[in-house]
Amino acid sequence: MGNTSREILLKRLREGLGSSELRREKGPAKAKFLDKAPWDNFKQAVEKHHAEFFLAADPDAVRDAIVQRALHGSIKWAALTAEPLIGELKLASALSEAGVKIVLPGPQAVTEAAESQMGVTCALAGFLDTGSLVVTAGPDRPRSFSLLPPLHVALLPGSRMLKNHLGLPGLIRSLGKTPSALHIITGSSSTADIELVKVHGVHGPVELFVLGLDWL
Amino acid sequence: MGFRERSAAAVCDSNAQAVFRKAAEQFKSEREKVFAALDDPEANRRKVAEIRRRSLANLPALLELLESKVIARGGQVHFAQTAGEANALVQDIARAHGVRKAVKGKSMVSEEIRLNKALMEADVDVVETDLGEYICQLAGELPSHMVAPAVHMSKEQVAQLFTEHLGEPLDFDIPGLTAIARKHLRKRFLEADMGITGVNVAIAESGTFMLVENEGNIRFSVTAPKVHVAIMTLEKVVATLEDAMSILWLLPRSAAGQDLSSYVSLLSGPRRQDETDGPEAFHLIILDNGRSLIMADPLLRDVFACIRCGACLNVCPVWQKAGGHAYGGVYSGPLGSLLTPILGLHPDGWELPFACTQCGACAEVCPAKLEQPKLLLELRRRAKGRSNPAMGLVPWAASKPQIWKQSLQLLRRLDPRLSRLARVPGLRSRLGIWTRARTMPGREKPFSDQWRKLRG
Repeated sequence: MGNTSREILLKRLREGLGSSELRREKGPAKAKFLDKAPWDNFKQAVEKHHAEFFLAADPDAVRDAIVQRALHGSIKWAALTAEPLIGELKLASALSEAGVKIVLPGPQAVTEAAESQMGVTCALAGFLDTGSLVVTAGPDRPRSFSLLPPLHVALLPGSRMLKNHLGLPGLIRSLGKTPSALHIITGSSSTADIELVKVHGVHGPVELFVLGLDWL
Repeated sequence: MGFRERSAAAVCDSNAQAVFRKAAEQFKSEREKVFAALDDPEANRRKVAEIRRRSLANLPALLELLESKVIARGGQVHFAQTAGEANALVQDIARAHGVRKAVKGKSMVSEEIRLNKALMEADVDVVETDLGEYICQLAGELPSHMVAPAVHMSKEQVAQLFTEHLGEPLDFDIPGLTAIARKHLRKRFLEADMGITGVNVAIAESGTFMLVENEGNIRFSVTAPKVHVAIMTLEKVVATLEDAMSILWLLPRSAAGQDLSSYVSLLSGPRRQDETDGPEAFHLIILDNGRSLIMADPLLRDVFACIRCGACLNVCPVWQKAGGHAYGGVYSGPLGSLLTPILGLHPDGWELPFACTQCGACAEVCPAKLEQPKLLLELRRRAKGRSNPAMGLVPWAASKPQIWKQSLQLLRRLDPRLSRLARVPGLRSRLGIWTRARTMPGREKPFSDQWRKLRG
């Protein structure tokens, strides 16, 4: 069925549309990050989308902000990606000392992320215009960690700011290998499906907490 | 029951009228706000229009490139000529992977092919996960709006459904109702073996699929289940990531007045070997269902430049009065009036091109610069052979000024109040539509005389 249908369908299209030549302009092969992150504007854009922003001046400020958020939210389990930056910031030990149990990437990523109240990930980039974050899947960063816990904490280095999503193709090409999944996240999950009333927190995080890393 | 009867029922329903008006006004004003903030929205529309036409012109080559890239990334590609073939393919995939439970992200094409029914026949328990679609599934109804599928239902009706089907206490609080759906559907996501989604845009150069949403249900559907099946209609492909990003510039703005949706996912094949979540198998189904034949038609081909934002129906005066269900199928508004007849999606589909006032509001907001009124006129012309021959005389006479003038003179003399004309077999039903809620205008004097009098 499949192969025959393929041939019939493509033949019909070729006959109907005439011959065509596929011309593809090669886009940029690298990302054009902004020279300096305009944090005030980015904060405004993040907050417009029902998310919280905190600018951290150094690693201590990041640890404090996340631990405070965990204590404030009575977080018992936190899912942390194994990205190098998360390791360098020693977030696992800081949260453990505060009594939070840590989940790391493993074969049970989905079920463990579903039981966690907080997911901490790094962002590959941010979009200034919309306050968006880009996260990708990888062995050290499961898809579920930024999706299933009710609170998503995302770390964005200041050197990774793009003006808007039109800069994404260059960023993807600069990675060399296209990730299996890339997500642009703008605010928390939301719906207006009942009487067009906006509600935050549907199937994804109820809250999004973005930490700008000013020194990186 | 045809469009006339269904729309007549909607027009008489004051609650439905209030809901349609509110939906249209809200979507329209949100769209206007975000478009007003753009530097040059017209240039953005021209760009999207150019991308879509270029993509359609290169469709065979783009589909082949997409196919090769998806396979290179470890996915499987299937082509389906008909809805039946597409459903059989999904059933086969489900059997091969031992799928018992499936979750489905919002996908109009899966509604077009009636996939849920096919899956149930294959003993696969499938649940809609977009909140609006979930509500429609529980109610056993079709979606009524492209972006807000359950817009026709009140919170009281939703609460009643949740009580009946989910055993939840009656609660009219909207965040509370959303939390109930979250709780019940989370369990279904975690149990599901297969996630089914549509495709907003397919990117040929990288074998990537762009999916746009707000709820996170599509992300969940491609994160937890071991199999991901994406179903796309053949026209959804573009050449490059840049093309997809340009469409993304206008899609959420046009659809919901958002500068960007909560989640935009770019998916490229199944999970890699060393990844711990995401689907182990990825299947892409490319569906024709009559589209390749229309592609050969240089006039109607343009319908497929549509990016499915739904902006056209929010400004359509007919949709605002008739609502989505009156169109009888999955697509409503101007897009429904175009797609339903040409793809043969409903037995009364050829009525729909006449459900248009030719006001042009849809063309003004269309991000892909479709000329829906012109296309609908063309469909009316083609529908001529299918309509009452007596009605066919009207456009014939109108195209010949002398005959038209003499006919009206004769009519004024013989039947000045048009009362006899309304009784002529064949015209009765057509004129009856108008006279049901209106008085026949009467033509005792030529309109030119009346106009002179009115102007003083």
